[in-house]
Amino acid sequence: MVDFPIISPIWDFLKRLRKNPKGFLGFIILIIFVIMGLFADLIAPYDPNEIVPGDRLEPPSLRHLFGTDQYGRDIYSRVIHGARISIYVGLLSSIIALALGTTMGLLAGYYRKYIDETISRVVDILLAFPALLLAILIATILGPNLFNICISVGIVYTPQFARIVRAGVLSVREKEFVHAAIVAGDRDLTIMFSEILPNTIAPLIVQTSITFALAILTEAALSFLGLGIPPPTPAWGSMLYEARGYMEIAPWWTIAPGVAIFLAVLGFNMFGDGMRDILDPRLRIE
Amino acid sequence: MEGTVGSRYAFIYRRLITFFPTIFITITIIFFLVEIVPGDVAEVLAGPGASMLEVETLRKMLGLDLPAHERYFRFLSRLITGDLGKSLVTPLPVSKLILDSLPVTLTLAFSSMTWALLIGLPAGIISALKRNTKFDLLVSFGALMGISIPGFWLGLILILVFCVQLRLLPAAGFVNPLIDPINGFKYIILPSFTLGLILSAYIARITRSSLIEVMLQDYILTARAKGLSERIVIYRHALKNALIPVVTVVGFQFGGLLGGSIIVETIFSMAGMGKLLYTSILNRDYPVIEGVAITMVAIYIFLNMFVDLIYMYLDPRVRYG
Repeated sequence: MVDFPIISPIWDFLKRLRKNPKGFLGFIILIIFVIMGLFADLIAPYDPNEIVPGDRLEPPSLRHLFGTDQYGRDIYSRVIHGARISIYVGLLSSIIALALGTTMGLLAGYYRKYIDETISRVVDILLAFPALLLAILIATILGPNLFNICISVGIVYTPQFARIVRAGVLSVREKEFVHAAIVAGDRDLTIMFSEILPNTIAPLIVQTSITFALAILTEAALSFLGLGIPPPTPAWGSMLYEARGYMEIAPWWTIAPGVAIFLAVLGFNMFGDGMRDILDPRLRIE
Repeated sequence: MEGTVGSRYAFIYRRLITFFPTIFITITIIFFLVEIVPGDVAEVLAGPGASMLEVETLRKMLGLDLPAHERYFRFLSRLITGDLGKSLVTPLPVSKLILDSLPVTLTLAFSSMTWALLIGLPAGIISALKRNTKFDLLVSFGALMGISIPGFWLGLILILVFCVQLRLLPAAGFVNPLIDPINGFKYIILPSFTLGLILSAYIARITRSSLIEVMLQDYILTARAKGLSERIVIYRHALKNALIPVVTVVGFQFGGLLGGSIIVETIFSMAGMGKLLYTSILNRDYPVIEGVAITMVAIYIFLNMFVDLIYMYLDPRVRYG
């Protein structure tokens, strides 16, 4: 093997992932969802929002794999396009939670004293709310649209990141290499990001994967309650919100979007579990 | 020894002391969060055909014309006397609405927890003891599926199968099982199973990993070396310690059930706190939203504190510096 400095760690990681069946299967599911989301326009046979009054509530057939809804829209196409929205929500929410949480954790762990006290109280307060309640409250205030939902979901899952990073910072804060950097006159920001943060990368990656799954679930729950992404956007949760009134006459409408949410979340959870096994030897129980 | 006991009381004391500021801050946050929810209540209540004057009168009547900070202090002083205000939509006080719905949510929470423990504990224990067998693999995969399944969808599928197709159980409503056990059971079984099954997945996972870790400890080896039967080693020595983290998870998840109740009560049309919150959000019934949110958060914070204290009692090794 020729050693490419950048490719080698990724390659190495993939090789280790291959040996972890759970993580690998999760990875495969994720790849499928990403492809579905990216190429939704090419994969979906119909326009997800095209209303065909003549095709209302048709059961699954070769023409409409997952059947149609009460507007005659093709459910298969809507589920495919839903992947794009879920990936968007998962990605943006995780980035918001990761960025906010990491910043809070770094500041709290590095400066300690009253900064730590303040940030830790904020984290405690955020954790004092049941997750879904907080998401609902913030989403209601911001108003239901895709971006706002991501903000509210991101805020809800920020504390976990802050705690992980803070704990990581505290564990290395007094190590020689940090003191050396301080003595060498490095700026605080440089020390935080290039000396301290790399030590918390492993748990952060695992947490990000879990948060991705939680974000998709939370958004779907909000949309299902009609407090998230409004119809006609083909979000999986919103589709179930619309399908609820038709359970008796069109059960297929309820099944497809739910299976999609379930598989996507399962993929992220399996991947997260696999990552934990690979990255954190302490948690690996042989 | 003296020192340990002392610091333990100090911890309890500190934990109790932080309880009230946390409650106070969350109440304040909830008030101002609800305050900035878009939408004019007076306009909504007056109806689409109302004149400007009617809307203004209504606004004055509701006290909505006062500045926010003034309303906040009024709100606080009423809250201290246990008065959560009046619902804007129904003519009932908020505290009555909450007290009426609380038993429904508590019944749901307790029966969900029963399912969760009934399924999760044995599954976790057996799979830890039979590690790397087919059973273990099955439980691990089942638990992974359990934490991935959206609760609201599981509820819908259960309704689809047991209510729409098989017509075995009622799809909506609630009957107090203490008053009418048979019907009460029929109504609670599906909603509680929905929440309980998901929770059991978390419990199975944590039980399994915790027990596996304990079984590797030296004192288990010692117990075995003493010639104790495997049964006694497991029940007397291993489980006792292995269940400590499980208690924490159960406690925290109990609070999480409050969040889950919003969805499950809505799907199964149960008149609990979650449903109350949901309808009051749709109706923009601010006092009710505030009241329910405050009640839920207060229960949640209280439970978390309770779990911390139990944890300390169960595990004297834990030090709270």
